[in-house]
Amino acid sequence: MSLFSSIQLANNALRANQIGLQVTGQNIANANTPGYIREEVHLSPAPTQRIGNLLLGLGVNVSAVTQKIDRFLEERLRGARSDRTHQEVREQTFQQLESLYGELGDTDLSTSLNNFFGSIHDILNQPESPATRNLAVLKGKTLATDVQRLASRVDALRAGINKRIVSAADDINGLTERIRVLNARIAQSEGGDTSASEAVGLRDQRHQALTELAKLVDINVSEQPSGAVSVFVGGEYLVLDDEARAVEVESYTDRGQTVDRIRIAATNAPLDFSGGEVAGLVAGRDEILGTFLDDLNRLAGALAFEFNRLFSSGQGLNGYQSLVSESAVDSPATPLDEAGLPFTPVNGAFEVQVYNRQTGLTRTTKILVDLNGLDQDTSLSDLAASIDAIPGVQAAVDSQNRLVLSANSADEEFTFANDTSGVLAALGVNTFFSGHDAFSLSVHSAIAADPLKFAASRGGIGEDTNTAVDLANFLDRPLNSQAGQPLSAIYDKLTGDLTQGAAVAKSVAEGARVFEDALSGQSLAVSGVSIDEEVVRMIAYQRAFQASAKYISALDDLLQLLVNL
Amino acid sequence: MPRITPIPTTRISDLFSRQRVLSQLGADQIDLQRLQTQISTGRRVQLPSDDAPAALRGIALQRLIEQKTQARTNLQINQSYLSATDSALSNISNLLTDSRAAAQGVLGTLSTAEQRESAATQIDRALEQLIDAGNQKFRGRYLFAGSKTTQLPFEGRDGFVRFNGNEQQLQSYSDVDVLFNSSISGSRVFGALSLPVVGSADLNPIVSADTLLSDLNGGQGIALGTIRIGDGTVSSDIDLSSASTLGDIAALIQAHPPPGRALQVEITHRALKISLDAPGGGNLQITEADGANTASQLGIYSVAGIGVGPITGQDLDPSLRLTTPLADLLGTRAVAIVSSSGDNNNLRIEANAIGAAANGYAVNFTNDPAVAAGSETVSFNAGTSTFTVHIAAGQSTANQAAAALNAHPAFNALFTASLDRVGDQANDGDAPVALSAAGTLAGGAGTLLDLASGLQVSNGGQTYTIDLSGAVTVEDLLNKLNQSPADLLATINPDGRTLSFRSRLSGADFAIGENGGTTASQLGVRSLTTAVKLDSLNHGLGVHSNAEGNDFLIRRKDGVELGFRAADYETIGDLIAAINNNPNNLDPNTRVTAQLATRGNGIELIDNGLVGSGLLSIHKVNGSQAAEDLGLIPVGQPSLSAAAPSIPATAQVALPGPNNDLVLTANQSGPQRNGVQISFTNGGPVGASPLVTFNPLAGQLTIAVEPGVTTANDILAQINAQGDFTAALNAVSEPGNTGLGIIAAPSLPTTPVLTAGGTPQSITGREPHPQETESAFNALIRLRDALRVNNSVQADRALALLDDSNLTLNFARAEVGATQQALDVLDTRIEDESINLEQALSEDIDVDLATAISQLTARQAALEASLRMTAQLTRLTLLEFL
Repeated sequence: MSLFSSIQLANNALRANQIGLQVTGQNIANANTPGYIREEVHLSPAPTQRIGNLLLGLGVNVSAVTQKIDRFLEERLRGARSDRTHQEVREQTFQQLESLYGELGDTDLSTSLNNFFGSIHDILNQPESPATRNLAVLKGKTLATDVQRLASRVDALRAGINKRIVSAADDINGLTERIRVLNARIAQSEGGDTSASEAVGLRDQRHQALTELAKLVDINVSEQPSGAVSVFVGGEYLVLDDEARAVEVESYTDRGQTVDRIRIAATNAPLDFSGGEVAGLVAGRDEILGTFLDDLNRLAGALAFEFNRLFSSGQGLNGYQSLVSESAVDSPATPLDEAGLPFTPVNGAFEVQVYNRQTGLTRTTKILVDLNGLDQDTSLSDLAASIDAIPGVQAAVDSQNRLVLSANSADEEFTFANDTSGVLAALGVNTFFSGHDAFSLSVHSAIAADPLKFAASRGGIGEDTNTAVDLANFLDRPLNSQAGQPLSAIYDKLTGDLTQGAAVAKSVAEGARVFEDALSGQSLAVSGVSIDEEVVRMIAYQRAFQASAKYISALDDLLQLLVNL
Repeated sequence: MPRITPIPTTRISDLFSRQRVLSQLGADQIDLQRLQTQISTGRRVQLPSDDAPAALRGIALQRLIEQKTQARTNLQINQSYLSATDSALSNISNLLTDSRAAAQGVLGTLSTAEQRESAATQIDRALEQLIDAGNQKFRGRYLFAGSKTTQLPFEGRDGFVRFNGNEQQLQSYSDVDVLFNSSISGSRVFGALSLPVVGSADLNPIVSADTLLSDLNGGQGIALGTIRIGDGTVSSDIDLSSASTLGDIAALIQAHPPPGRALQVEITHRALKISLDAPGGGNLQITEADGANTASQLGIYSVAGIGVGPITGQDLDPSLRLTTPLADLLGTRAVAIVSSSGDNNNLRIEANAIGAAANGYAVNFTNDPAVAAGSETVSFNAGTSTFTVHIAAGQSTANQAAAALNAHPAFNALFTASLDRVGDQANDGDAPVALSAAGTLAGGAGTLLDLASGLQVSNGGQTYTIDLSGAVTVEDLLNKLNQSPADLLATINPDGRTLSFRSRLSGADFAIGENGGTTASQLGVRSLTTAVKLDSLNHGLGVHSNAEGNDFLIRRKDGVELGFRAADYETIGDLIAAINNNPNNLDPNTRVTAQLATRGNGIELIDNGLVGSGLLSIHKVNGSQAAEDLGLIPVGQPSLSAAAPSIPATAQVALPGPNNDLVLTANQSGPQRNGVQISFTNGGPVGASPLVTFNPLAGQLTIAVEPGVTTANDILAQINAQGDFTAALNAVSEPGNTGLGIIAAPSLPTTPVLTAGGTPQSITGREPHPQETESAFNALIRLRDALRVNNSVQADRALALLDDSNLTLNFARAEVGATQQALDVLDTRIEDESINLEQALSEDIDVDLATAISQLTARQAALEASLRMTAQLTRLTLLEFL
């Protein structure tokens, strides 16, 4: 034991307090840095020295500078973050869809539907007025356009989401590469000794990268003894020690649109996301928007087919001189229920009425549509031949496999009635709507060109309004093809599913936010910097430093005394 | 509300404090923004998901409100039409009342012709005004045209009024799914169509494989479900729900026999006929497999079973449709199925026309070594009525056999052979027929509808002959009737079994009768039938019969008089029977026959008698006008005689060689000597005295001559001597005929000559049972005409008609008024409902301003407090104290 060793002890104390002040300064400097994990100086008493029978301490030793972090909590926080971003994307998608759908407003689809059927009520009110039929056609066009516009906007939304998925793949690759590089550097810096000081800056960066990645995909992270972390998504690893596996996008067609999914580039294995922004985007594109489009297509299809079924058995104020079916078959020789028509006709019959303007006479011919599946079922060629045999009408199948009908003379017109087979609606003959889904729904060109062909009558050209009576009430009429559900119920389901889905997504997202906030609070409680704390520490270190300096000064005085002896 | 997150219990970092403060500030600002938007838009729910249950209620309410708004529009538009209708009806009512008063004033008084004419002229004016009222147009719609609202409903024509509209009413929705009649047809207001002459005959169309199931059971259709067919041991459930036609039913049944068994299904023209394969035995049972009663409705339900069958179903009773072929009415065609074992070789032989004549004909096959497949021949044995197809056994196919049969003239005149696709689904006819296969035609019944004769329709004083030839379907028939100038409205009666005829003309008598055939009777639409009661004749005025003594006498051409009193008979048939069965009127040689007219309508008397040369005539007796009422004697005349005497039958006998053609004329006039066969025989050496014999019962005049010797003059002399016929030389066919020509043996006529041209005397009465359109127009026209001819009976009837019309009109007014009132009530109710719905919607969707502003104020205060606290907290740091 000597004065010099005491000075050395004081020197150690000065150095330790200086390091303490350095770490405190670092913490204070990063008090506002997001993701920064506060550091802590670990001081330990220096080893003791035996002097005689005495064991004397050698002062203080700085054993390590570490990050204050709860790794288990961080893992949970990452999961909560994935979940939150996932749910927020769903919430945003629903919100955007709701805005497009525009229910509760005056320009929504339900208003278009009601306006259209209201215009048919007006035909009942004034069947003699060509203007009311024209208005019904215009309202029909508006409805079809609204449905089409909604479908194409939803489709555009899907395309936008798909772009984000593609871009997310690049982001994932960037983040995994950063983690891989940081893994290597951390392992190198720490040398595999986790009890020693950590490569805190590098760990902060990696922590930040992991947080970003967790926002994109739900990852599982496990730290290796080397200090490197492994990152897994589902059963696939993205980063393993100093190796990162890149992801890529694979295109495929869904609901008529080219879309992408993310897979591991090396193995083509698709990534199974259950959280994170990407999972939210995929759910938004396929589940939320895709299902909505399916339902909208069902609504439009039911409207087109069932409305046309009723309509095609009616007659307008004018008959047809010529007509080409809207739909084509795959092959004119194939039975009509297997010929690829957008709607499937059934076994039944319909009537063709040939009206002679000169004589005012109508001649009705029954056409059987044999689709009982037992014997020679009716094909488009058979149908054309049956109609062609009717005096006054010519029928043929054109090169595009459509049914082409024409009257034999300028004095003759033809119309249709009592179709129990649905073949007229399936072929698009004497129909109001053409198309079979939300994208293709429009008003039949023949009706658009001549609104007087609006088939309000059932007893012949311009005879009555019995078909219009059924059409006006179509919204609430049970539909055979929809298991007895009326169109209003289908629409209500569409709206209900969307609204409930959006409400649930909103509340789930809010829950995820609260949970993340709670965990984040806990995390910050561990890892966040408190200025007051640091100031207290700073004062402590300062005072200790001053005391040590004073101690040295005292020793110096003692030495001085000794020197001056 | 800002979300509430827990505060860590251990320590607080600065970053946490700051984030928390920022988060709270953000949440507060979002909340303030939301409240501001709610207050500025007045809507609590911006997006449905803001409050999903309320939004969904709101969406449903919005739709309901939109539908109610449309319903109110419907009510208001149609109220305007109904108001206009009511106003028109009010005018019409006044017109009828005024006309009645004008007529009443000159009836039953000592009014002069001028006064009556003045009243008649006033009624004429009223008639014109009534037509104008009936043609009233409002907002582009003829109010009384039915559903053909652009068609001028009434037009005056030759003193009558024609209704061009229809009976349908327009309908509109007064509420969601609630319909109301928004118009009233002129036929209901004015009675502009006559009561229908509904066919009494069930036209009973046949069924075939193509018959739609919806047409069966009188148009009620079949409730399609699953039936169970068993043989007593095993059974098969057959789902018939996909069937559309009777052929589908047959096909489905045949395709699903009980396991291990085979079913044979045939569609007779009336029903289904089902049998089990005989070798398997068993007891064919057909029951229901679910609650749809399909087997019962198809008429084939049989629990007891009848061995292997066949079970022949009950009459499927198809409804008449526009497309029903006329050839399928009033009977069935004989059919035979020539069934060979295996597939693709069954033949169906069907008579070309309905009727029993084709029953009993048979078709069979014989192996003919001289015949190669494809060159089959057919022989016909008239004695056994059998067509035998000569085939190459085992090679000739069903197609070839059918072609051979159809090419045979005797066969194709009566029958058509085709492939049976009911018992043999996908029959392409390419398999060989079995030598043992045979069939006998059966099931033919009824009589083909007489389209060649057509109908005679009287309407508006005109008689129209309606040619129905060329009509193929019921629609063709209706088209021909409706397009005829007879102002008819012919339709299928709602019962789906008969036709119904109505007149569109008011003020006119309307009758449907025969045109020499049986068309009207077959259709059952003859307006005068034997069942018509005498007291319903003459528009219900009946027949004015004497209390005692005869009403009229019929004097035959033999001078015998037959007396009748109308009051003794109830119906036209009774009267006709009484004439025909009068004890003094039974001798065929003198008999006068009564019947319904063969052309037109009315009672027709025919004197076919041989005896007498007088004219058939009818005479009123005892001052009775019953004969007038029966239409037998024109009004105002005492009697009516046949227009022409009977004409004797004649025959021109053209004999080979010159100067020998004869003309024979029966000495007794009338049709009874028509059809007498004049035949020449070799009488041996009779020389110049040929033997002439006449057998009146057999209708044969035989002249036995000596060929090469007997001359025409000889024959002439002997015929005249015989006494039943008068013979003369035919100078027309042989100018300068001397009668010296001999009858040469090789040239003796072998084909008998028939007499013809004998006509009876006849009197055809007028139609005593015309129909009329019981309309206001009719009443006024009848009243006007009665005034002009000063016929108080007709005037009284017209006044009664006018009263009926007024009553009808009042009913119509009441209906319109009640509808208007109901619509008013509905309008008020829907308005109330709409207000309630709007209120409910508002409660769900709209913002409660008081609440929102309170919340805004509270949030504002909270934010201010939060900001203040934040500021204070941030100052509260150790640094401040150093």
